[in-house]
Amino acid sequence: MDGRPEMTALVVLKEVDMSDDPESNAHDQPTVIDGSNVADSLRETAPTSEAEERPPVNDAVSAAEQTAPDETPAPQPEEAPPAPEEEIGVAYAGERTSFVDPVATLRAETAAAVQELEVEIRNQTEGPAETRDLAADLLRLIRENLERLRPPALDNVVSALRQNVFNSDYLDPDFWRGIAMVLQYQVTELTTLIQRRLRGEFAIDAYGMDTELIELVRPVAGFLYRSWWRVTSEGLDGIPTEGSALLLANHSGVLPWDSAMIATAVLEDHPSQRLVRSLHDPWMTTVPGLAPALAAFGQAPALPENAARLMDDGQLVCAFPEGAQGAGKLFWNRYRLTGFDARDYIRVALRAGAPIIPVAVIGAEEIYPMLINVRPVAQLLNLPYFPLTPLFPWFGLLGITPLPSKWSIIFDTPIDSSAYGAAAADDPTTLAQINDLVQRRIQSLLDERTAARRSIFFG
Amino acid sequence: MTTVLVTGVGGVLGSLVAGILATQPRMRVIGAGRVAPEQTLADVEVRVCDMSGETLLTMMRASHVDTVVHLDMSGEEEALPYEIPGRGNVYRAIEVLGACHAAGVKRIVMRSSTLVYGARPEAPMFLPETAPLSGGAPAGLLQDYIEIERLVADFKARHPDMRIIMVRCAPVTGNGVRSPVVQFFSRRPAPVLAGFDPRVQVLHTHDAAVALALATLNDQVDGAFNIAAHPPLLLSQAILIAGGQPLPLPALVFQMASFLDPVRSLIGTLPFPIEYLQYACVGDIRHAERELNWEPQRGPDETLRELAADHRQSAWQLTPG
Repeated sequence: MDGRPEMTALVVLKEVDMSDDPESNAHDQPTVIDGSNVADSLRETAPTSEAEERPPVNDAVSAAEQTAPDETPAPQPEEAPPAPEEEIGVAYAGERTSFVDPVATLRAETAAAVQELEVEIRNQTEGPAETRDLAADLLRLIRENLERLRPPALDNVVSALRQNVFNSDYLDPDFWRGIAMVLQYQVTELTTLIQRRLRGEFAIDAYGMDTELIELVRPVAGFLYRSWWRVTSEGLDGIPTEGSALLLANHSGVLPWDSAMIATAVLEDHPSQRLVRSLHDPWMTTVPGLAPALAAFGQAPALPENAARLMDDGQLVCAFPEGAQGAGKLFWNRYRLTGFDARDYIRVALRAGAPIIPVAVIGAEEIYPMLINVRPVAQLLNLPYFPLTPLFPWFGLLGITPLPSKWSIIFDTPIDSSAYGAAAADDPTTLAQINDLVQRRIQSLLDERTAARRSIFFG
Repeated sequence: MTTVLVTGVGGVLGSLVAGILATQPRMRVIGAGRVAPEQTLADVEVRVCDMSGETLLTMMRASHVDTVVHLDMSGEEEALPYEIPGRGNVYRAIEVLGACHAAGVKRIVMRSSTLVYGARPEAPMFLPETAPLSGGAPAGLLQDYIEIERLVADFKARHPDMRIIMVRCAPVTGNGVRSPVVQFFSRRPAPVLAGFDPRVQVLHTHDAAVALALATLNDQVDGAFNIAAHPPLLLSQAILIAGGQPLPLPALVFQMASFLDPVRSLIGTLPFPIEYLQYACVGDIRHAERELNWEPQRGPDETLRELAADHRQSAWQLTPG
């Protein structure tokens, strides 16, 4: 792994991310609107022409409030008792604005030291390469988690790092003990975060996306992206830095890791660090536990209405036109698109004038080689398919571990939907043509790349 | 000179709407209700009456009413009077519609609920006003709203010259009002369905009143409008902010409530069918923002924090010493 400067840039960017998370999210929400807005709007909508003489409606509201039969006057927002969230916000603000901030300095110094050690370990030549990479990747995970830590846990982590990790070799058991301690402290920190969330102190966006949770799993997703599947992404510059776009990808791999990796690719390697909103089978909304998790990670049920709403909002939307049929295909049908129908979504993209980007994911077919689909069991459990793979269900939970195949994600050149004109959205022939074009492009990319790779696991 | 008749002026929302309308120039506001508002409203002619169709018809004919704002819904601001059998709200809506037709009133603004669409897994994340309505709820206020919506659709088909504007409000709170859904949010414990956390909407009474007033004043609009604070909250978050404590229970426990008394007393009466704990029913407010030029002024968390503060205050007042 090279590209050190990029990584430092990422750290800086994440620092910025953390600074406006989560309390400033609350300020992004449209909470208090100036009363004059409503007054203006009332003037515009007023049925008679004497608009200027009207009293602003806000006065009307307060007048009505004075005469309204409420014994306890409604407390104004500024008088409301300060929520614990605000206290945290104040603490954060203090941390950020104070001239010499010991916590931030400590965090930055530790992160720098961990990174130095990581680079040092990566550059070592003796010893087994796997252990070296694992040690370095774990250090990276620790470093990324450091950004989230607050004082008590941070101090513990720093002292554990200093005692065991910094002055010992990575082949030394002490090193690994130190790493384990650090990871344990980070779990403790996680519990306090969960406790805070149990008091309702978190912010979601209009679709239910929870930035805090995404930041939480981001290091793990990054680990899978860089180290487990060693994903190479191509054509990321075709994704617009702002405004909506429709990504259409092939679906594979039983569990939707491909959707997670497409999102990680854009989040980690695209300059805008945007979050791709993947569309999932609406059926998943009925699964307990899964429905809130999907919403928290910014995903939405696959309905054209949802895609339209997200694109109106300028979001990146990713759809898997094959659906569950694609994810649950048997191993010998791999990399063959089945039932590719994205016409409803293409129509939405044409209406929104959003570019359509075909995406080919290679490697995800091999993470769970599905040998047999046991339909009766699937029907019994109300699942779209029930796979038998070389590892699942024979090895229990271990069987859920995806195989570390080598992945590549290719974002093809965007199809400019505005070139088709607005009328094309209502023309079934054009929709079918575009659908065909996207399908052919993805299929040829899949064929080309699978033929070119020499090994499933090493690319 | 426009004459507006506001029904249900004895309630908080009714008096707020009447108060806002009364401040508009060249506007005569008549407030009708079974009880008078607790405080006198300036420039509103308050008539306390039995609210029967006949009385309303006489009132409309005598004062040449142009627009009727029907806000007389029992069960929103006070506990539903269960001793009255049948659908008091639905009958009253029928009587108001009939009286308006007989008196030649061409515009009616009615209050409805964003929950009338029903909670379904395959519903869009933001429901437009054109979305199909729910098949029905077992009982209570939500059932009344759904029936009134059907009634109005039927009435509109038969009388195309009448404009009936449905203002579908999210569960309202603020100014001492706590609608049944919001009361559920502040329950300790509030039973929720384990493994599900749908998005929910709330609305401050003020924003509801402004939206109703704008819908009354704007002559051009017709149809239905979703009115709610933006963005939606998660159900668990709404309960926590409103001062309640969510208690996740598996679906089986909810089913057991029908025959096991201890479980029934734990779960209590839900203000909506159990699907609403499982799937979201969130209205898209962009239509109202465009057509009515209405915008929510209070965020959902702010609205619910105010409720929690009220709650604490009243609890403190109730316990002597």
